[in-house]
Amino acid sequence: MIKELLKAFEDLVYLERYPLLNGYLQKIDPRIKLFATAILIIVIVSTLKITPLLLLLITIISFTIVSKIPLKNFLIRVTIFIPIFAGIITLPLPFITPGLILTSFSIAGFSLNLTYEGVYKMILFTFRVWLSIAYLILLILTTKFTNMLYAMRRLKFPQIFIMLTSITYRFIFTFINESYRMILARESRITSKQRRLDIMRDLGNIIGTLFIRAYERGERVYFAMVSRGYSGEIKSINKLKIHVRDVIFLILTILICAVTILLNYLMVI
Amino acid sequence: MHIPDGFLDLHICAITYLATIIFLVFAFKRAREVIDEKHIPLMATLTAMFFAAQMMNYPIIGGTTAHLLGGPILAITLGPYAGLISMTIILLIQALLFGDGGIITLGANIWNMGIIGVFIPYIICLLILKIKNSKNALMIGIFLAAFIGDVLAAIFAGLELGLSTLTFPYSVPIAVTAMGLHHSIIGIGEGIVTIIIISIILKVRPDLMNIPKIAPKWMGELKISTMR
Repeated sequence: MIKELLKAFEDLVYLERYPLLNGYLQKIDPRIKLFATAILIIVIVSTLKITPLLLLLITIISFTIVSKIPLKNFLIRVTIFIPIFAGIITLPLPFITPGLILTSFSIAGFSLNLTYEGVYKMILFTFRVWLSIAYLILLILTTKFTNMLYAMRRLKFPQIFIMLTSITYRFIFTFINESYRMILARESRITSKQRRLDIMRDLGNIIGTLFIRAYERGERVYFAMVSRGYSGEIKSINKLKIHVRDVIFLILTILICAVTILLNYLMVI
Repeated sequence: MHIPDGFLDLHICAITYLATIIFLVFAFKRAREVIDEKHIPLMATLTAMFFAAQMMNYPIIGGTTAHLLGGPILAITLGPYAGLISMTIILLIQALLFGDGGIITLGANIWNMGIIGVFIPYIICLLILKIKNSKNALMIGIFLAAFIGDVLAAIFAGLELGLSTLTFPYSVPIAVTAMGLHHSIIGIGEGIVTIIIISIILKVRPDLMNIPKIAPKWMGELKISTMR
C-alpha cells in the first residue's frame, strides 16, 4: 500500500520542478498548449503509417530540448508503464495476423508464423501509444496545473467546476500525506503476514476515517475561506495574454500536423 | 481501467465525449440548484480524499493488486450527480497532473468510471432498499452495487476498445472478456471495502450520511443515515 503513495510524492517533486524552468514551451500560453497537444494527439491517433509518425517523433524531441527538459529522463518516464503494457498486449499480433511470412518455427508441436503485417501492426500500435503519452507528458512537464486551470476558466468551463478542481488540487497533497501517515502507523504495528481480508478491513477503516476527517476539514476550510472574504466566486489577479510567440507556436504546430497528414496519404508504409 | 490516448478511435472518443458532456450539463444544473457555496469546499475536500483513497493498493488473487475505483462509494455518499462531478475532477487531475489516462480519451474514461461506475451502483442500491429497508439489505445492496458497477464499467471499457477497429488490434469479444473477467475479481474487493467504509461511517458519524445528495429528481434520495 505504502509504495504507491511514495511514488506519488516522487512524481509530484518531479512534476513541480520543470514547469518553472525558463524553456521555450514553458513560456507559451496554457490555452494554446492545451489546444496544440489535443490536435497533435488527434493527428497521431488518425495516422495509420509509421513514417509520418517519425516526423512527430523528431518534433517532440526538439520540443523537449528547447524546453530544457533532460531528454534521457523524459524518454524513460514516457516509456515505462503504459507503452510497455501496450507492447505486451500486442505481443501475440505478429503470430496471429495473416500475411507475408517472415520466418516460421515450431514450439512444442505448434508451428508459429511470424508475419510482416503482424510485426508492422504491433510496432505501429506501440509507437502511436508512445507518442500520444509523450505529448501529454510534455504538456504536463511544461505547464503548472494552476495555469492549466486558469486556461480552462478562460475557455468557459463552469465556474463551480473550476472552483472545485482548484480546491481539490490543493488538498490532494494533504490527503496523500494523511493516508501515508495512517498506513505507516498501521504497518509499524503489524508483526506478521496478514490475510487478504484483514488488509481489506484495515483499508476500509482507514478510508472511512479519512472520509470523516475530510468532512470535518471541509467545514473548517469553508469557515477559513469565509473569513478571508469568500462569497462563492473566484477572482484572480493572474492575467493571460496571447503573445506573438504563442501565435508562432500554434502556426508551427498546425504546419507539422498538416505535413503529417500529407505524408500519411503519400507514403506507402 | 484508465484508457490512455492512442487506444481508441477518434469517433469513439467523440461519441463518448458527447454523451459525457450531456450528463455533465445536467449534473451541473442540478448541483447549482441543490448545493450552496458552503458545500463547495466540503465536496472538494471529499474529492481530494477519494483521490488519495484510490492510490492505496490491496492484494487480490495471486500476486496482483487492485485499488478502489471509488464510483460506488461516491454514489452512496454524495449522490450520482455529485459523484460524477467528483469523478470527473479526479480523472482530470489524474490525466493532466499524473499522466494517467489521456486527453482525447478523457470522455470515454469519465463515461466508464464516472457515469456507468456511479449511476449503476446508485440505482442498484435504491432498488434493493425499495425491496427491503434494513441494514442487512443495505450491505447486500452495497456489495452488489459495487460489484456490478465495476464489472459494467469494465465491460464498457472493453466495448470501446473492441469497437476501435482502426487503432486497437483486438476484437470486441476478446476485449470485453479480458476486461470483464479481470474486473469481476476487482469488483469483489471493491464490494467488501465499500461495505467496510460505509459501516464505519454509520458507526462513528451517521450524520455524515446526510450530506445533500445531488441526484436527478426522478431518482429519489438514498436515505441510510438512520440505519444502525
